[in-house]
Amino acid sequence: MIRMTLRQFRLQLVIAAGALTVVAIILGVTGPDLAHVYDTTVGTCARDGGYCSTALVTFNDHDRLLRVVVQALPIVLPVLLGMFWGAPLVAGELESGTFRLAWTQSRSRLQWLAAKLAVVGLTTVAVQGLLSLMTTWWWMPVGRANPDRFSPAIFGAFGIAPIGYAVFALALGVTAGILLRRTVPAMATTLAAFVGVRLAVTFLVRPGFASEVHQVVALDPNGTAGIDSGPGIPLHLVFGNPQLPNAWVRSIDTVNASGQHPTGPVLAQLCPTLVKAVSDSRQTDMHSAFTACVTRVAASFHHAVVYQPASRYWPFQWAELALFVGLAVGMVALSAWWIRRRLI
Amino acid sequence: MSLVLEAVGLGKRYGRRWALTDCSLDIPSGHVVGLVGPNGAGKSTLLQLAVGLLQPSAGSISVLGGPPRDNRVGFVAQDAPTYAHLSVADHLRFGLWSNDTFDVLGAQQRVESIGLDMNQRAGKLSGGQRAQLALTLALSKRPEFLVLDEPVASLDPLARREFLQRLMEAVADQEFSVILSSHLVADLERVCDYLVVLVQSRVQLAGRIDDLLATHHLLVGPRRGRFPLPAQAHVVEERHTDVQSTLLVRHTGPMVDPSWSVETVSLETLVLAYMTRDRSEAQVPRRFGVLS
Repeated sequence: MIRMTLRQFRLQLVIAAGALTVVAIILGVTGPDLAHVYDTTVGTCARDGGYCSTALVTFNDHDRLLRVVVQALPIVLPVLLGMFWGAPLVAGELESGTFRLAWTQSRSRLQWLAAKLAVVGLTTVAVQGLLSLMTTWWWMPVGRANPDRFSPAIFGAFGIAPIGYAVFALALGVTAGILLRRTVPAMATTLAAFVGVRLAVTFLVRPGFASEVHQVVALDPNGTAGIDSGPGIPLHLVFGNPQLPNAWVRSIDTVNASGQHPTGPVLAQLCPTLVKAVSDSRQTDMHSAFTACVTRVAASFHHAVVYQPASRYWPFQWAELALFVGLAVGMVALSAWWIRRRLI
Repeated sequence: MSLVLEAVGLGKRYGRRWALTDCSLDIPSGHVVGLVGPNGAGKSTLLQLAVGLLQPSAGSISVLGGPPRDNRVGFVAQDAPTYAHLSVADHLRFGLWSNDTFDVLGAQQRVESIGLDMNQRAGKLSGGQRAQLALTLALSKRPEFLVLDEPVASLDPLARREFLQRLMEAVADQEFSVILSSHLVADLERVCDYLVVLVQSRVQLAGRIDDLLATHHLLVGPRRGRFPLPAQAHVVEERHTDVQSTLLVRHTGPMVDPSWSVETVSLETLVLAYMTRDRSEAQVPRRFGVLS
């Protein structure tokens, strides 16, 4: 039955191999180039200990379109596999009637389904895995220059999580096809359900993979700071965020020991000169009052940071992979049961 | 006498709708059985139950003395489904790979004798060729019992004759039992020696065609009031014009009555009479025709 599925799946295999080859060539040509640009901009700057924002802008200007594609491809591929490989896998045979041919030979329906899932499932893992490997390699200099690998759009695009998405999307497509018995509605259902589950996991489930770290970070009186006010917004003092490269920062709050924020009456009591200068719009007094105020506030306030440390990136990737593979296993079990017990 | 198919109180329900209800049927082995009935009679459901594609909601069915989905059963589904993107050769590989026994050499010979191109995609074949390919796959399993669901319904007359011709050659060659369904008795008349008429799940008539033709008579005579018939005779159908009455009568003995002219009945007339007969009437065979 495996050989039969390979025959049926031949065209898709060729298309997948061709597409992967094209991607490999493009990334193989541009990747070393991008790494070289990194070395000559952000890389040298970091080695020399200079102020790197100009170098970063230069580097980030390089391959802008390709970066969008490289980031989007592994995010989009799983749902495409689910829609175009998963949904028609069984629904196509239910629609064309060939299931009546296949299910009246010597092999059982479960053997038939298992062969299909084995061939298409392994191909899916291979295709998504190879793509992920190539894009993750290509992205390395970008990730080093912009250490933000926990942000949802990066986390779901690189590493091993996309393999889990692809396996889940495929199982979802197959199951939708079996339940709905028609390819096109199954494709639409796959798209909607996959996007829904991905969003729900990203924003509701993933933050709970491990309990967040609560950390107090002292304010730097010489660091970045500013005042913020406007119509309807009371005057408050803001401090530059602490540098936590690659960490998943959930919230940052500037508070004192009593949990108060540097605004309103609290600020008025600490920095009366600044508050008065701002309300009177006296620019000359404002600067010296601001510097004094920053020093005073920094002494009694701190950053309360809630975050997932950067070191949890791979445990989170594994957890995400396991979660989606688990969902896929559930879908396959439902498919098998439905084919045996309900399509009779 | 062994049975290839035995159904007892068989029923199949889809949601609230019953596609087949309380169907009881025995089919002895060694026949080419025609299963005839109007659309919606439950023929396709019955055949799919026989090959294990469906499971009964009520009653039971056994095939070749055991549960359905037996490897000794060959099946060609309605419209002879094949894989449109795969070649004829791929279909033979499919047969070989998905069956415990598959006569691949016989299949190749058969494909050649039909004149199919091994590299042709099934989607490019004509309806008749596709049906022949599906039949080839079913025959190459060397079945003891072949089930064909409306095999010729979508074929033109020439392809129809060709298909049935090939089927009969195979039956003569391999000696297996066959059941094939159709809503037209004319399709089956040439090849069947046993007939089952199914109307609204109920078997209206079943038996060897020779016997059926020998025991049914068409009586034509002037229209009269009440008339006597032999004690065992059942009126299947009666038709009247102003001056003439025509009765279809089932009777095992010889029909000799000077007041009637007795004619032999064609299979088509016979089947149509049973198919159009009111179902409630079918339950109570009558001994007298009552004319108003």
